[in-house]
Amino acid sequence: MRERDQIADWLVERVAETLAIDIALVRSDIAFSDLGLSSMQAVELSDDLQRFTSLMLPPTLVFDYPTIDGAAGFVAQELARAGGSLPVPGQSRR
Amino acid sequence: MSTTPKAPTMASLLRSQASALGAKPAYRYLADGCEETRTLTFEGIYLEARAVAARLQQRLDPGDRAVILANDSIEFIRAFMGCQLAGVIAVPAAPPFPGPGKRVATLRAIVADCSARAIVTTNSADSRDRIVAAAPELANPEWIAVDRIAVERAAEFREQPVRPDDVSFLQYTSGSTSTPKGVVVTHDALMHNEELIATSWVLGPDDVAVSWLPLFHDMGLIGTVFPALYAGFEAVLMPPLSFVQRPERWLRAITRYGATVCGAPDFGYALCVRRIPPHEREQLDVSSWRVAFSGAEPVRARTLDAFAEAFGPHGFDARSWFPCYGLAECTLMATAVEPRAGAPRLTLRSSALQEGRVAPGGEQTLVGCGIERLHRRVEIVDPVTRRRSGRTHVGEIWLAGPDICAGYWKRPEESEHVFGARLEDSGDGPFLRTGDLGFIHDDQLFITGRLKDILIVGGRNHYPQDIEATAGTAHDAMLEHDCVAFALERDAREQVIVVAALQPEHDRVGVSLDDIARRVRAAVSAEHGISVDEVVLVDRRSIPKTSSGKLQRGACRAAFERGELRRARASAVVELQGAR
Repeated sequence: MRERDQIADWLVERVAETLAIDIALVRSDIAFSDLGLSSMQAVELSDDLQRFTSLMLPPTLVFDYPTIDGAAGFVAQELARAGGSLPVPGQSRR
Repeated sequence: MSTTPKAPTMASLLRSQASALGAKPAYRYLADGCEETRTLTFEGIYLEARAVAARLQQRLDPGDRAVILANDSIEFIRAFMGCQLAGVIAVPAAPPFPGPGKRVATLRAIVADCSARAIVTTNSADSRDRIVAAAPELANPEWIAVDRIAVERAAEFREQPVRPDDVSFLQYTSGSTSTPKGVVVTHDALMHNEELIATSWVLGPDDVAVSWLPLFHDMGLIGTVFPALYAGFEAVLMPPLSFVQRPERWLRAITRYGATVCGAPDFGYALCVRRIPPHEREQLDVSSWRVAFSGAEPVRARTLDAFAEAFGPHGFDARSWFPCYGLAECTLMATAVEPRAGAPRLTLRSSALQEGRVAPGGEQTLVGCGIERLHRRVEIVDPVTRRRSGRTHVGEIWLAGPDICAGYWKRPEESEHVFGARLEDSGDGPFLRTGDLGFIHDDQLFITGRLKDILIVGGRNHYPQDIEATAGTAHDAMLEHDCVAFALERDAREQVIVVAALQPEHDRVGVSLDDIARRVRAAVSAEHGISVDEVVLVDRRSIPKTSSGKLQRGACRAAFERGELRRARASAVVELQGAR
């Protein structure tokens, strides 16, 4: 599913940026806390996702779906349900 | 000077405010940080509290302890006030986060330490089963779903005498998981501290508070929820997570309700500056805000300035700053600044300050936290000689007053040491030894550091022992008991540093140092919810210890700051891999 992958990629980049580590070190199948994210950073991440997807998401999102894969799956589903779309990278929407 | 509080106990305050203020709203709850979902009036709280008290009276006796575990602010208040009327000692605790972690450990420690008879919580699906699965003995206290208690039960309430020296609640914000310390707050101490807060902030019935501070934390409970009841104004409450997710919600609610009294630890103000982009500030008008208190963490001039600069154009007045100093051991507030004076500042020479001397006119800016008011007494004391420090020297802050707490629950020796201090020369006392360091200059108390080994991150206290226990077992190549955690002020925030010793090189062939550091960060984050800013891996024997083998955190921190720690080398095999 394209949206799911796009959200996962975006999350990987965002986590790498937050923790100031290399993208290659951010695994998408382990818990955000195991990546070293604090609970505060995890809650902030849910808002970054809100802005990225224009969806309303719970602040506990990354505790309820503790891996990048899990969170991306949930958010992609919510996006499909809301009939929304993601911004196209590098371009503005038509 | 001492004043008599408005009421002798929380129970009588509830009763008198209910009859005086009736249908006036006391608490509004914004469950998602935006929409108002519930309101409690002054008479409503009293009625709800009687219903909850009646339910508690069924199974609990006066003086029994009931742990309160509720994310929903209204349910928290119902539970707490029910305890007050039933004479049951309330024990607020942080609801554990989803997933395994320290907060279950903390809850276990608290329940055991106070021998809780009941856990009063909301009936939300996640709580009981998840917690009991992780900590089976927590099935023993009776679990009471406060949100299932119907208001009709109020009729069954039997009036219970509550005296000023009875215990209102225990505050477990001090102490590590291995030795939790419940500060014993009597009704008398609580009412005196509320009087101090109400006087210092000039609170009255026309005030409005908007707060996201958690209620299990003293600043949310004693600094916001109780002042509303005490001074008879309304408090608008939202969940902490909805603020952290989008800080704009706090300022939006201040705008919407015309709030006058709102506060946060330093990080909350910093979060607003960092996470509310300029185009989202346009709708805000916070000009009604006259008491912007900051406490629970060091108050940083840089944060105050950045916030005032960002939100000044939207009505924020820098004269509204109320930096405070307080701690659970003196109920909450210790000192406060004059109204409308803003945040007093002092520049100092940091080189002198490092030696404990006060030399004004340097490059380091400190924010003053006010001075004694009403009943408060503040002394600056040399912690070793127990004599007053001179005006030009930093010393330990000692406090006295009727709101100094009665001690730590069932810890007489430690209580005597902390709460029963006397000045060496005059024998004057008893004083509370705060463990904080500071000095008084121009009638302002300035906090410079602490004697006690705690880390304050996100407004919450963390104990190095707890973090060390987690970090020291994160990887097999580590020496479990040779691990030190401490905090350091860098980049205008408190950073967490972990220094850990490794097995000898020949015992860790093939182990990557990066991997160890990564696992340390992951373990601390998972267990304590905070991130480690730097992991320093060192060789065995380079962690300073006393002759009896006790870790010397201060010495370790000093060695780190001087760059004198001998960092461990990767073992030969890893170096080869790295060179590939």
